[in-house]
Amino acid sequence: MNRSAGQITAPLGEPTALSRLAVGLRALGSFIRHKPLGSVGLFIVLLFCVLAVLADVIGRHDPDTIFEGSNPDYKADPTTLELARNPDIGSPVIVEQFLEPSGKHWFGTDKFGRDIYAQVVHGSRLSLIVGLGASVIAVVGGLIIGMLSAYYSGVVDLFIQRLIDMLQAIPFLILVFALTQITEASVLNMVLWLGIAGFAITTRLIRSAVLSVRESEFVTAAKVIGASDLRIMVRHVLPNVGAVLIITFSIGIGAYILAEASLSFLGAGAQGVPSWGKMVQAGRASLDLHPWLTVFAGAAITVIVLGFNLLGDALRDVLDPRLRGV
Amino acid sequence: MQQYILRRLIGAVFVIFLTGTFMFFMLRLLPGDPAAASLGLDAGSISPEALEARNAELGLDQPAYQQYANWLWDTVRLDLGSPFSKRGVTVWYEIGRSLPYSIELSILIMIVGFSVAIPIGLLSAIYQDRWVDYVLRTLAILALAAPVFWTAAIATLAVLQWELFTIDVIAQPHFWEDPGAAFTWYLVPMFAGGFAGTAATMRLLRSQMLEVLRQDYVRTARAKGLRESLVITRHALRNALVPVLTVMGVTLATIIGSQVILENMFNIPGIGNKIISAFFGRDYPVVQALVLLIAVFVVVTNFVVDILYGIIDPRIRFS
Amino acid sequence: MSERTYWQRMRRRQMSRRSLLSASARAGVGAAGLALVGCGDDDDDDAPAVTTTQQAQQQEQQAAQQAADVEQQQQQAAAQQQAQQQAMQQQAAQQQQAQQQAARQQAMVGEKRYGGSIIEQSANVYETWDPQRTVASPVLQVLARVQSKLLRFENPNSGELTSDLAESWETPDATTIVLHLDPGITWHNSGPGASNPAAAAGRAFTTEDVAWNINRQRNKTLADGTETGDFGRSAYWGGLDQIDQADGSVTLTLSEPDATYLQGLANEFNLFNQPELVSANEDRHTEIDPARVIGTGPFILTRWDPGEGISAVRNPDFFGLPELPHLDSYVWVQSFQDPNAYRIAFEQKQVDSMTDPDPNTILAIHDDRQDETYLTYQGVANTVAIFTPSNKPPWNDLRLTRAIDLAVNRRQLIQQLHNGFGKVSGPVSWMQDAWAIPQADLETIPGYRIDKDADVEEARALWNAAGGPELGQIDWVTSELWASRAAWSATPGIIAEMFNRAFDTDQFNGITKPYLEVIPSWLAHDFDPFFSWIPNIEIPDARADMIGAFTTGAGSNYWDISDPYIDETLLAAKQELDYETALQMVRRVQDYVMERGQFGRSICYNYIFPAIRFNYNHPQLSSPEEGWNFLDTSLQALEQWIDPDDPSIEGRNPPPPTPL
Repeated sequence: MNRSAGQITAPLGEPTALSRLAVGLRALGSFIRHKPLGSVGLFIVLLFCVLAVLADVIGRHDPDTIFEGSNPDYKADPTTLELARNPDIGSPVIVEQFLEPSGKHWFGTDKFGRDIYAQVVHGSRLSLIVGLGASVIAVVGGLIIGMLSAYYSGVVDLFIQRLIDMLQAIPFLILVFALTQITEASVLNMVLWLGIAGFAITTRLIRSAVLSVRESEFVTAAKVIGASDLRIMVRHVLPNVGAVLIITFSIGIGAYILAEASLSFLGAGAQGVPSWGKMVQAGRASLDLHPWLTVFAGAAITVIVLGFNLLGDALRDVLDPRLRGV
Repeated sequence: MQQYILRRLIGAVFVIFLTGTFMFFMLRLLPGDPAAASLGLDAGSISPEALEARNAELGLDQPAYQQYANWLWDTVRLDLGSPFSKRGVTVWYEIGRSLPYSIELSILIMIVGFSVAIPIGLLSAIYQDRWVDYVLRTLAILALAAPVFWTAAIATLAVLQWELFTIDVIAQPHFWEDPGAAFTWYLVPMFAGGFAGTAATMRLLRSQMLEVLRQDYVRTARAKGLRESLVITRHALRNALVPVLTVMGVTLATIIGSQVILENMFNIPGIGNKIISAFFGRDYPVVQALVLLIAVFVVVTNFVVDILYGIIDPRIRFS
Repeated sequence: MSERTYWQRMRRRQMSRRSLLSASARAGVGAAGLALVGCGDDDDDDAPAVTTTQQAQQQEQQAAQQAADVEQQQQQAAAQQQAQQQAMQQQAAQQQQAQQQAARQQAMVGEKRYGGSIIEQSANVYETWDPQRTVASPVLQVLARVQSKLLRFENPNSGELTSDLAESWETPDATTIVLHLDPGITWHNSGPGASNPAAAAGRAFTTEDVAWNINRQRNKTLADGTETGDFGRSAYWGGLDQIDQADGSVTLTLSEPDATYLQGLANEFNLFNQPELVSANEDRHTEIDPARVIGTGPFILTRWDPGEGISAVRNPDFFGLPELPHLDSYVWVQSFQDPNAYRIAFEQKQVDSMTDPDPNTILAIHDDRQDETYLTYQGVANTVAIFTPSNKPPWNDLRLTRAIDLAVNRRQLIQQLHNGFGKVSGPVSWMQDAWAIPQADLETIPGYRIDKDADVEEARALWNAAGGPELGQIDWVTSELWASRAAWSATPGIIAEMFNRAFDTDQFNGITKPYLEVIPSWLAHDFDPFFSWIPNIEIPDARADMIGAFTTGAGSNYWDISDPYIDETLLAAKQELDYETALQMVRRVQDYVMERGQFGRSICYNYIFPAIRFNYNHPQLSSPEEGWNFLDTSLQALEQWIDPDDPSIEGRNPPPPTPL
């Protein structure tokens, strides 16, 4: 009812906004129809975004809360042998560590007596912040540097190109690891360093896109009529490299999320926040004894990276000018 | 042509110089004292005089610019010095020990990666947007998405549980010493690493194939009634593979230093493994030399690929 | 010679071997230990401590007798146990457990075998081959089996001493120690070190060697006359006034009475070099090479390749004792960077034992392989502590310091970080058994009470009274070295959460800093609140550590504690030769310190590493009854052995050691 009413009034009242919405919806519908994998990716990504935003509500428990219970085996003055047999014997209150998944703790508890479900749900925040944040830095940084480099060919370009070569000559993981070692292990620093290490790749992609646009007739025409460099870049070049930007952005996210997990493996992860990478790393040595320590976090990483990659691939199929219309 | 090569050569040397300089100063920014790092937990017991003596012995008492000048001059003469953590041997010795392992592992990973990626990329381009395409691509991306230290740990447990084969983490055999033992040692890491790297190659091949399949010569081939399988293998695949194979060289160069996690998990004393442990031990000469080595690898490979590409493909202008 | 000196009392107070054995038999377990309690002197004799070679041989026979007795006892005990079980018709699960235990006993009780090679993990980085020019324990662990000290700890936990280079010793007065060297000791006669042209291979060990080694450390000078700050133990040897040699004996004269000095001789640092070989190589003391190492110990180093491997073979001329050591050789492989690799190596029997910071790994493997493996436990001498900088505002308010000390939930940390494998420690670690406040007493002391709520309530009152809530954000440091281990990576958050909960606030924030940045800040007496290890306990006698931490101006007194009562009591205790009196003095100081929130040096606990071994691998000390072997380097693996008949040996395929 409402929708049809809106459609009727739209052409009369506010034509642009609503018709844009309609176009957008139609594009989305077409995307879902033609790119089912991409739609699955989109769904996964949206799901994790909801998890991250509503973590405090959905998470059931505070991820930092330590659950404790009384110890039925408590003995006041245990001998060393008794202690070796039952390490908790000397304490009347014990941390509820390594509890199996149950109604109270859906995914069980970890070594520290914390709820794993809450940790997994809250961990989506770090993954999204790291993935999106690093990708934004990489793309924005790459855009600025790439455009400068492409537009002002010559010494500036040459120098920037060599710097980029340098960043690409050092293996990505080792470069980020090295950079994180210099600064405090905070989330912000991690995002920053991942983005900076990543923008070598984006700069290169954006630069070549800008180069091809720069040679086109409309830019030459704009130059002839005396448009300023800034104006040409913003009005003519930028819109034409938009597709490359979106593709680079979406493909990168999954890689940064994985890189965060790998950094946790190397002991360089961010401190003080629930991190899936750290959870997998901490639990993998006793995978057979307490599988729930790693299974849920490992699956979460896999699914979110899968989601971003499927979405990114579909976007590329749709937006890549070379494949357009396929 | 010669001028182009010369220009690229100067550029390559400059990049190597930049990398070395960057690593040199970055290492000096790291918190912690290399002279005390080898003491680990016992560092709390060292006396200030002993620390000073050790710093002097390692040349760390000099001002940074002087250390840099020394390093530069030594490196130019290919003298990489001696590891802080193992005096009496040269860094070259360490490289000679660890590089073969990294190369072996990287080649195996490449073989697995490409032999999985090429069929998948091919099939998913031919059957674009059909279920074969969806299933294969999802699998490839799934392999990329699962953290390698998780999948490798699961695979290890399976090997241990069912006593499948020996993973010789102590003898560390090379292929030319004991091919069988080396193969089983590398088996889990090579598949874990190979699968994880599949997606990138698969994507590249798929998009190349899609592009080639729309080219006029493919259309012509089809029009003249050639069988579809011949069209694909003779005309499309051959052309689509060219850029994929050129990527191969560069991929190998970057893989060599990137297998830190797998090398750690399977006790492979390769380059990545050495770099990270040298980082924790603040062993500057080792980190500098190994990163520089990888940089030289990458830069040289890029250089060679570009030149070869120019020779093969006359359309590329040497401007 | 006075009969009732401190030294002899110290030897006598040790639990006698027999009572130890019967105690463990009563417990119905500890068979593991029984077979291993080998040659020891009869502790019941009041005569001056003299251990000669002949005596040692006699003891060997005695020990065999004892072992046989024990076996009988053990079998009886086991039979009783089984009979009981049958009678009681216990549940199936319990029976299974008992059977496994019995199987293990059968595997462990039996005659010790000679020969074989053991393969275990070692460290990766060694800073020097000269044990006197380091403070790093990995170096000492390598050399402990290759070189000798004047005395060894027979039982490292209790401080019971036994002969090493000195076959006997006496202490005529409070400042004199006379050591009679064993005349039969010779330097290694084969191996890379002995082949070095600079070495005097096969030469007899003399009093001149003793004097040379002590003097270079005392004077802090190398053979060429240059002075160096390298000598890690120069302060210890600096406590000597004079060294006299006469007729195979060395007389050490202390500048002041020091009751802890004798134990110091058995400290793992005080190994003896050969003057000839060391003098020729002093300028290359950081270049590790087995050809620069020669010793008098039970094993000869044949390979020492940092990061790659170490191996050693039996010294055929060891002190003229052909039965010792039991092993033909051992191999140490480079340390595993990752538990995955370590686990593969152990489960595929490429190494004979495994230990890991995360007990879960060990427990997971044991869970899988209960029939062929067993667990042993080793205490870790690096005490874990919380430091508050009580030497500067705002922490110089005693109420805040006390509040922190009360709020630390020690038992919870042990559970969270170490799966419960550990015990709380007071100012003196529980590992220094005799000197520590007993666990039962600790449970009544605020901060350690079982009723943690009472501690927290008190802590919160103090915190609020001293204006804690107005302090703003408090960054609590954890060392990166600690947090970089996967099992402990959540520590900063755990610590912050612990305090936040105790004080009902959100002021506390956990951060990490490199260990190498933390330590200089201690030495500068300007540090942030932190949680970490503190340096090693070196000898079982706790007085040295207490003096170092609490007396005015002492080396490890980072809090600038200056309290006349503590100074007076501890210095008196150091000179006190009567053991019981000294114990009481240290206990009084501990109580005094505890009442004051430990002055910001809030000791938390010492944890225990479980290790897993295959049944065929019999280590030197393996059962908890024998104590927690925190300085087991002193035991030199003399009696470690391999049982070739144990079924678990099936499929073992260790790499061979580098031959002589």
